[in-house]
Amino acid sequence: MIDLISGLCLLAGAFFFLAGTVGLLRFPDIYCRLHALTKADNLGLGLVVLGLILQPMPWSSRAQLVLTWLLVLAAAATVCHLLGRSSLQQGIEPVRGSGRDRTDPSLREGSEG
Amino acid sequence: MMALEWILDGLLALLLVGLVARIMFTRNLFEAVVLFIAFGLSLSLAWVRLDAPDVALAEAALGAGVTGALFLNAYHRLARRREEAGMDVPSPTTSQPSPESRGSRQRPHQGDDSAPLLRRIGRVPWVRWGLAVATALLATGLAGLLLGLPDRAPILPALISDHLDETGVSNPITGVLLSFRAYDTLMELGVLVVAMVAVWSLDRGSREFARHGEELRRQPVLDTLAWNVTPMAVVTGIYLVWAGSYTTGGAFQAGALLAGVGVLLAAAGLIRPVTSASPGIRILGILGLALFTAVGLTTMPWTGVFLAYPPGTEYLLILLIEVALTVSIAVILVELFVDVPAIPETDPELEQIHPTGDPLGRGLAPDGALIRKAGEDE
Repeated sequence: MIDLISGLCLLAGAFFFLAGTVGLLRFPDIYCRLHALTKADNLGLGLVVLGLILQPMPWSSRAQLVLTWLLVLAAAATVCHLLGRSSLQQGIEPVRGSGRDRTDPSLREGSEG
Repeated sequence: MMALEWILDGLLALLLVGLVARIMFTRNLFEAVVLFIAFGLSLSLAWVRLDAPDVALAEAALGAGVTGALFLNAYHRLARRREEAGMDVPSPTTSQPSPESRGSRQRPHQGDDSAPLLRRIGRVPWVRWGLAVATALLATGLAGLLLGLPDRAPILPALISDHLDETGVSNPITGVLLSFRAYDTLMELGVLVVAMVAVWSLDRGSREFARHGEELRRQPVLDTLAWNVTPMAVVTGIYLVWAGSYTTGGAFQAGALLAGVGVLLAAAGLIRPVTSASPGIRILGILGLALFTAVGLTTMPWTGVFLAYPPGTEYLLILLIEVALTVSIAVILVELFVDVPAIPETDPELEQIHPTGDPLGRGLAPDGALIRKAGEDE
């Protein structure tokens, strides 16, 4: 039973990593990509850690895994914030509109105004 | 289960080779730097798979972390320098290469008299080919020599474990690094000290970094992270030195971790760069090398050999040296990060490099703005 739950958590975590990677590759601008990466990877890593700590291991190892996750959360949130902020300050415009608009050159970034 | 491990290890090996190929052949400097960090992390995974956690830790902290930070720092300066040159010096060599030329071969500039002689020779095609052939021959010869050597790998672990109790530590890695092969470790520290001195002798960068630090100062989120991570990382660093004598850990890993703290604090603008003029930094930087050498010399009357520890004192001496090494490594690595010298004023070769672009192939101008690909503008 424990193994089943643990395995499901690991698989779900792997799925979130996959989704985050697809988002990184497919999303149109840096802001969307950051969104995909940080959300998906934080949750993905959390699920992987959850899946792992259900397995038999010393409590100290469990604590280390959870601590690792928390540190990654803090680092990812900070880096995401810094990247987004510096992109905005450098004047990189977020892409607006739906997917169809993005394929239309007249609606591309920088030409809204 | 066995098959699954083979698949995982095979994928890891393919990933490593693929990353290296991409790093070697990409003409996008930023991509190369980012992939180098990814390569370091993948390599440390490979070391974990090979049951070498000490090397994995060192690779992740030094190879990916600190080296990556140094590369990014150098890249940033290169980009900034190009930006300044593009604005101030209106000459043909400083103009931006158009996005279309990115990725295409740079034509050799024969007859460009302003370039140094060595560089002009380097542009002659047959010199390049000759060098390539000579290098390949040399590599083949070295490989042949190595293959011809008797394979001592199978007996070394037994030798080390047989004599480990003579070193006073129970971690074989530390035993090898600080006792059996202490001379190598001493020389490594020497290399680091020489690197720091070399950077200092080119020192023009500290003021630039100070300015940069002030710009970054208004980043409360980064400050918060730095303030919260620092105590944890310092405790972990102390643990790593202490643990080095009996389990995974040691001076290089701890030094790299502490250097990471320094880099984070410097990037957040929470510590000012200190220049080479500061005596404290000088003393801390050479502390490891000096103490190591001093211990090696002062014990010579008892042991008769340089860098041999008298029986009974090994553990204490190794711990003392490890602590000093950790401090020096951390200080030197942080110094290398905050004190990268400015790039020489005019270097036409540097102007040719198009150092920017994002991993998806779109160019980034030095100021971070996207360069559109040819044909995207219509």
